[in-house]
Amino acid sequence: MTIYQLTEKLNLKSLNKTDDVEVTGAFASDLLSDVVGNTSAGNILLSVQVHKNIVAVASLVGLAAVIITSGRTPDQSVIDAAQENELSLLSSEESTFMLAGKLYELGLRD
Amino acid sequence: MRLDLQIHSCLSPCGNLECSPKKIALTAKEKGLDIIALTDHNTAGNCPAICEAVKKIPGLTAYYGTEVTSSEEIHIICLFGIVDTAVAFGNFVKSHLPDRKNDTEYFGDQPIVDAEENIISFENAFLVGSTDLSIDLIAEKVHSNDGIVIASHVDRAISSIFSQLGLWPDDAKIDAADLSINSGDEAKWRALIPKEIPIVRTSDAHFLDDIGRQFTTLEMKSPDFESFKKELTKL
Repeated sequence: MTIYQLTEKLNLKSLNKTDDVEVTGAFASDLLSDVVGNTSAGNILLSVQVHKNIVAVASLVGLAAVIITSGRTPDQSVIDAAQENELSLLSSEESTFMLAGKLYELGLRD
Repeated sequence: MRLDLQIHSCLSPCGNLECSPKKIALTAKEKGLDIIALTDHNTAGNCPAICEAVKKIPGLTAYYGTEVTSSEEIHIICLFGIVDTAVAFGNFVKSHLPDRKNDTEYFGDQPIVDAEENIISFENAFLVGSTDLSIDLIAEKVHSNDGIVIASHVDRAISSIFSQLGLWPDDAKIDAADLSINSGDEAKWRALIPKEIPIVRTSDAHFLDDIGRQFTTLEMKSPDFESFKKELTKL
């Protein structure tokens, strides 16, 4: 499954424009220390965390995308940083729980 | 001079009721401290009392502040040299807490007292909660009021800049990093904290006995807040 496919199927909002990449798995956490320790390259992150460090941490571990849940909106500076780092930044009105369930139904089970 | 820049009073939900500003000041003097800062969670309500209490103790100076919980759930010590500035900032912070009352059965009372330990009122705001203020916004507001921003207990697995943000944010306007008494090897933390950020030690006292269990030493000719700001950058 790719980011573009997920964006369409889950009705996600793209906050920036990046190339399509393959998704290897998903992880849900708001603690970025947890993300650094427990995710691997190609994963997507579901989080309500909107601090700019989502971009730094995503770049560090090589995340495929970050989906901001519960309708939260990051500052423009965060969106700009994501663009600079070619990180796909998406948002959803749904909660992390609901979105994780839908990803699981779509077959993303790692 | 010996500075203990993080002390909680009875007003903090987790602070011991014995920790009146008067007893805090007396204990600080006993322990040989020169400067103390009162930093209750998300309020500066007892700062006027600590201001009065230290006036009666020669050689002891107080700074005024609050330990704010940011929207990222990071604890941030915000310090000011002027009590009225701290109180106004505390009121601003309080207005950004969740609209929920303190559960006194669970968290206990949050008394605002005077310098003679008389209870003036009970704070019923949800001081244990997180504000909706980002770490960047808090730093901007503090600096515009000539204050200092210290990332609290950065070594802890909860409510610290590292636990919440994974890495030290490269554009954070933080003036210092505080290491808790359980931080262990300082060199490990020094490597994670940008080299231009000074490391301080505070007691994070919630009980009188804890006051001064860790402190920061600065070469200061005078205990005023401006001298502190200047010397802090040299650590």
